[in-house]
Amino acid sequence: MGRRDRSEFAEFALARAGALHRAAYLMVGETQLAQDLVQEALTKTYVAWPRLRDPRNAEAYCRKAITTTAISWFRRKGWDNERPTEVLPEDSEGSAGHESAVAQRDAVWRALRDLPPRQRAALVLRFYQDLTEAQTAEAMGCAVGTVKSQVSAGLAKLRERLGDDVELLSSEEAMTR
Amino acid sequence: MTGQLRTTLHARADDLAPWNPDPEALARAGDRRLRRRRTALAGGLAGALVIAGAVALVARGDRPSHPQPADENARPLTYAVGSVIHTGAGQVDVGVKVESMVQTKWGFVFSTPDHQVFSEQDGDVHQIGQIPADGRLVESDDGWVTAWWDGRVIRTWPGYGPGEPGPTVAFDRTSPRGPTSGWPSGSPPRLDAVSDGHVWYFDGREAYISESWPLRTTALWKDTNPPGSGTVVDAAGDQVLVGVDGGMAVTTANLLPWPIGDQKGWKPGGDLAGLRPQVPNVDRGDLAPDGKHWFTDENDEFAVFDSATGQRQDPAHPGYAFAAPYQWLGDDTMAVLALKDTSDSGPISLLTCHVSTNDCHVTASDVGHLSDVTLPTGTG
Repeated sequence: MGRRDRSEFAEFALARAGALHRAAYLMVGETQLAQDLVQEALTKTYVAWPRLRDPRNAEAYCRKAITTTAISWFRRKGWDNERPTEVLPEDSEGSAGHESAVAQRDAVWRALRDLPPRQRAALVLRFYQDLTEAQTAEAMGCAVGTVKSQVSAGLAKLRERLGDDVELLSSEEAMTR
Repeated sequence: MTGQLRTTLHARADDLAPWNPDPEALARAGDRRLRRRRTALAGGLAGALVIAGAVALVARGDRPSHPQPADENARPLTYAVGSVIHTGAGQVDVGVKVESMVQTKWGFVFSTPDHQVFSEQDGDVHQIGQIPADGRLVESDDGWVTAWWDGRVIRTWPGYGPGEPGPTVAFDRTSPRGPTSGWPSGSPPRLDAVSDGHVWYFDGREAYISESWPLRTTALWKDTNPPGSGTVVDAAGDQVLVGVDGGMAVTTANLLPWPIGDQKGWKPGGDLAGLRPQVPNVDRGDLAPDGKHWFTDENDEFAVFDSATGQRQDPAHPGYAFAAPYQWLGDDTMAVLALKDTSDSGPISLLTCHVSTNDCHVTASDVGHLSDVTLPTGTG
């Protein structure tokens, strides 16, 4: 890296777009909005390309751009949480236990979407992208302490909404928190 | 057993249909943004802000609690069209087309389409060197010196050394004590800033900081991790650089002895030890001369931040869809390029904006298209 090399950037964009799109979707809850977000983040990454020096830096830069842009968009546009939730594909298997699991995931998803954007971003980065608290702080452009408080507040709101029947965290995850 | 939160996130993500962006379209959008930002703040060292010397007030927390009055001594807004440099109510015709320029304490240094570099002072114009087609003129934070890569070595104008009546001092990376050796790597340096007697530059792989004055004791070192925190020790054993979180870097002191007597008005930088500027979600910007605020146009959004608190304000620029700050004219005053639409196709106007009032006024309306107007940012 170093120069603004289009082919190098294209290689990066095509290799990482899928993963970035999935993370962006979890943060904003809408497919088209997630694509807009990733395109904006990749454009910023292209602009910053010469100074990123290393593909790993590009990934971190793009992740940060997605996170901060998502938070910024929500804050600036004043989006509320009343937009319609995109429908999950119908499941064809249909056993009672499976339906229950699907229903529970739907409930968790709806509760996630009702969280403030910073709390939702923190949970996605920690529990989907498996970033450390320090990496999450870097992606959100905030202090590690803020990450801790955002995750804690987000989990508390989810538990308040979903009740005790839903085990949000595995026993290992709960112990490490 | 996996928790429901993780399970839900992965299930949702796995259900997404594959999607691939168009990298060429993204690159074109990025190039448009870069063109539009030619006025902006020159990337910096890994997004670094190199801060002017007089920021001691920030470090000491000596700040007023009420809005400051507008600058009484702000520099006039300046731009060039063709061979005419407009500055405030005045103008000077330098006789050749101005391709890029910087404004100094004593006049202008500018380049021409045939890659010559000239100085202008009180109407006198002299050629002082050459510059590559993609070269950049960099004005020092104290406004006295201009530096540029001339295709072979880095040059400064005027000389920065004692007893150096000659106009130009140059140095290179491998032989900082010798002014004439060529650059060896085949990777020309990109100059980012000249601050407190140090030149900051990036060779495509690493960032460097060098004294801009080649003496027996001249130090050169690699700034291997600009976004990190820490200090760098120079040849004299002084700590001269502090890297601050958020990709910001500041110099803390100059290296004495400087020929202060020869550089009237020059003052050493303030002690920035302990300064922790707040840089929320932004990695590029330019600090006001007094260090109390900084501006950015990152994300195509014109924003001003309080250095100490990180509080953001968005100066109002009604009637213009896009506004990009490009120069501090004073502690409270910014020069801003503005477009009525975001297509880059219309003429640009130049605004003067104030931190204290958070508003902007048109200073030069419809001065020309982006490709016709040269702003004092050192790039063409």
